[in-house]
Amino acid sequence: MAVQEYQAEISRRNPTCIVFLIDQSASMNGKFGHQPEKKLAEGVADILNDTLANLCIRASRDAGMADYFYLGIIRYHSIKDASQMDVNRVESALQGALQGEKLAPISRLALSPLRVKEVKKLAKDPMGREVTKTNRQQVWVEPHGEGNTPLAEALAMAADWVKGFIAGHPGCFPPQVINLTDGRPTTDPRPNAKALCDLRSSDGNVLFFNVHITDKALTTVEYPGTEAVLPQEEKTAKLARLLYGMSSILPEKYRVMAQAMGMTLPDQA
Amino acid sequence: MSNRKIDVVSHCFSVPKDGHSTEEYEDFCRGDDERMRYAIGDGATESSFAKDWVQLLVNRFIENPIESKGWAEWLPPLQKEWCAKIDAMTLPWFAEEKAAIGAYATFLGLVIQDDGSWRAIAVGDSCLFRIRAGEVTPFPIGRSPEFRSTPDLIGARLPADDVVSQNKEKLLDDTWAPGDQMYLMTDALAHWFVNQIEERRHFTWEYNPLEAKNLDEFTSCITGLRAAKQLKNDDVTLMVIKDKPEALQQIVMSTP
Repeated sequence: MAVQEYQAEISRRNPTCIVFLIDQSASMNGKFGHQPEKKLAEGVADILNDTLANLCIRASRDAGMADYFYLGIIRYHSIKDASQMDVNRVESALQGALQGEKLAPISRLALSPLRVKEVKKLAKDPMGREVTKTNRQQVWVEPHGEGNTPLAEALAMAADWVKGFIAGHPGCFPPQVINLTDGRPTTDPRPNAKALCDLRSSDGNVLFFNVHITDKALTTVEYPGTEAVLPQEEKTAKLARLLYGMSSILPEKYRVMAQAMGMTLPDQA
Repeated sequence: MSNRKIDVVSHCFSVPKDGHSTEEYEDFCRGDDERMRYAIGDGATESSFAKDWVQLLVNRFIENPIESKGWAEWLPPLQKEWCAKIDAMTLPWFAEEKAAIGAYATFLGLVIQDDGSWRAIAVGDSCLFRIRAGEVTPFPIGRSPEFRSTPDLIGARLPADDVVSQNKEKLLDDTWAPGDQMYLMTDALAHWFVNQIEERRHFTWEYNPLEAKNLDEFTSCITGLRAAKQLKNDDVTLMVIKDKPEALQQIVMSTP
């Protein structure tokens, strides 16, 4: 009988961890695809802040919070040192009360945003009517774009954090590492991506996903199942293939959950 | 004394999800043997303050059972009560945003009339099993694949006609026969029971929570089933309704 993987319950007794990698290289100063008034770096910071807020809301129970998740954010780029040499800067993006922390329990993260910004959004009320709502967006990560793209080093740091987490939680739902990038790594990240994906808890291998954000207003490709559906635009295609090749295949459980949410994912997505 | 043709007695056992405290238990059941009204529900863990919501639904049903398709009148006072309580709270931002989505619950209510006719009304995967002479009639779910991760739910902030407009209401009408037994269960136990029926394992149960005589026995059965990976780790609630022993005895004695 095949061993059932990716089945571990995520609970307070058996939490999992999610590490976000955020590309803050100079290329992130480009335009954000379908919203050219925004920089890529701003778009990516918004995506990450929204995702963190959603995780906090999901982990909220009545008036409190259950630590189902430990979250880490690694930002990667490079800066010029005094002699104008490029120096990689790969570090925890958590600041303020969480300054420098690696993996923070979600309850601590929820209570320690850097700031709160007000965003006007069109939304539907419970009766289905369209209304303008002012949302208070929690900000943990500020946009930044500078220097090179040391993804390989970021993956090595993620592997180090994840390894430590698995040592303390050997039966956890496998840690997930999610990379937000426009996909132009300075050095070949594939060996480190493989080393990361080789790490495992008793419930399966670490999952590594890439969210490829481009400055081109291309058709969005979600959960690709083959390289053939990736963007064909020359420059983007090469980067998309690199990221696709490094990414994990979604476990069956995710496909079932996506189906329950009305999405149909291809095999090998 | 009424012209009641049947007399039943009920009891209910519950065990919270393993690793959770009884305060976090989000099922709820209540029975009123005098009026022969019974209800069970399961607050959705994915929503906040679901325990308050399921208690409102169950308690109101016992006091004032809903008529089929009568949700648009029956539900609003409960929704108003839930919203008033929750919206008055000072909550951290994440709890406030989650509460804004509303609370959700599955529900099953049963009313037995004095003449023995009964109607069960259900939304979602809280289930009723009627056992008559060894035959099981399940309601509203009879096959294990029908237990999904997204059952139909009653929402505290959804439009009151949502249950009807989304076709969530399921009904079963029948008449009580002497010796009948009813088992009302929330989804985890109901799913297990449907598996037992499908696999025809009902004579070889190592753990039989249905026959537990007290909470200790019930808890030990549930612990055993969870350890054997036969039962999903979730809140578990069982309500058993049977003929009153003295009523059954009379039937037996009057049988030629």
